Amino acid sequence: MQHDITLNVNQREYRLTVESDELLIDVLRDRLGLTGTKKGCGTGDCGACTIILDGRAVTSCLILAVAVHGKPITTIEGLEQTGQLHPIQDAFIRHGAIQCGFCTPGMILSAKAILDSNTNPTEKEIRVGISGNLCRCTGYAKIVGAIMAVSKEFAGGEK
Amino acid sequence: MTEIDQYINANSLNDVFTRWQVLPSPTKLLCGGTDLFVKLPKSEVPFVSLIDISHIPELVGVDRTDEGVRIGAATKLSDIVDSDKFTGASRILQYGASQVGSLQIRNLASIGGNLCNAAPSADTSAPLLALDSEVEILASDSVRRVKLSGFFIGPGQTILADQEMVSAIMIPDQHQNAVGKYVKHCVRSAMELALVGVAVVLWRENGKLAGRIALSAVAPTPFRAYAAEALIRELDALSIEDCEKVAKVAVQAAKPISDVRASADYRNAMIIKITKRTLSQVYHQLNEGQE
Repeated sequence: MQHDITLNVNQREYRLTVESDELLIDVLRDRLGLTGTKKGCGTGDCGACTIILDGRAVTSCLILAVAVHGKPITTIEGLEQTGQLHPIQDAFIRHGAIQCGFCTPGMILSAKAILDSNTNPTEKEIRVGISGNLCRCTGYAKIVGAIMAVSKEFAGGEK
Repeated sequence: MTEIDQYINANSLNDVFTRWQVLPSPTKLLCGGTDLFVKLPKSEVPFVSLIDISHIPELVGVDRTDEGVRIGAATKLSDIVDSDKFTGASRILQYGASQVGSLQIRNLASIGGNLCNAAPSADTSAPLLALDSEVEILASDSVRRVKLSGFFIGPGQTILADQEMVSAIMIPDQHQNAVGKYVKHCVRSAMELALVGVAVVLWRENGKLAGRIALSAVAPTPFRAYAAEALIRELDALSIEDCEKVAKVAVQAAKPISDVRASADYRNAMIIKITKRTLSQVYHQLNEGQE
């Protein structure tokens, strides 16, 4: 069954026709060319496919594209503004929180979701906030450090 | 690998039942999708139609009623965690909901889906059982309420008949002094199934001690340990030795399996330890008048 939908991704509207069974992650990557969102497990376990949907961090491998017609979606590509990296992206680089980079887009979006709802998280709150994102490389310490650093640098400000 | 033949976004309950009657079988209700989309690729059923119920207003929300708290079946687990409508012992449901999967999963998953998936280890099940909750079940021409304790009939199986759905979960008002706790015994701190789940609610009624104990992950379904609850009433006080006695009665009703995560022996040992410890902690809180 086909559906005509509008996807609102990174504040741009995309009109497309999707099949009932097309997953959001596949539409983002294969139809819209937004390959920043990674497919790790396909079962919602690893968090590499994390995007922000209607203000909430979710795993896009468990969502049908047709089910999010019209809802605002932010992918990793949407964080950068006119060529400037988002402070969280910048912090990940500066604090050595990236090794292979595969978990990074999902991790950064989970970090954004934490900081959007809590501008001054404790280390524990950060670790809980990223507990749906697996990283095989870094051991998480520098990821937590980077998120902590961003929250301190921008405490109280817009992120 | 099951193909999704049709997807219908239902706008109302009427829409759901009208479509359900005419769509080809099998038809499944879709809410959060966090269990469904994991199962479909492994299923041998060739086609399925989906009716998306996640946007139906009557199915979403946490409301206080004169009986207690009513939770729409399509309410997301993260909304339950963040809700300010739960008070006293009923907060153990919020804690249970907060332990499911990860934040990303909780932002999609629904409480109705968690119950209808009927995993023996479901983290909302033991808290809801210990709160003596009910489910509201709708069919096209009827509505009925059933105690949650009678809802699960086996791993992944509930009493829902064809073309029936859960529309709401009701938590009755607990006794004013009731205190509760849910403990999820597991290895990881997220994205983990319970090895043993224990939910305890204790209160005093006219000065007499009473309680409910629910166990999950240690039998084909989550269940109430009624014999252990009767012992609590008989003892009317819970020294640490009494807590162990009650725990040893509770474990007799369990039938844990040995699997890749733990042996049955380990689970039985943990049921006793965790039930004993949780009873003791809740009993102390009850005595201190804390919530």
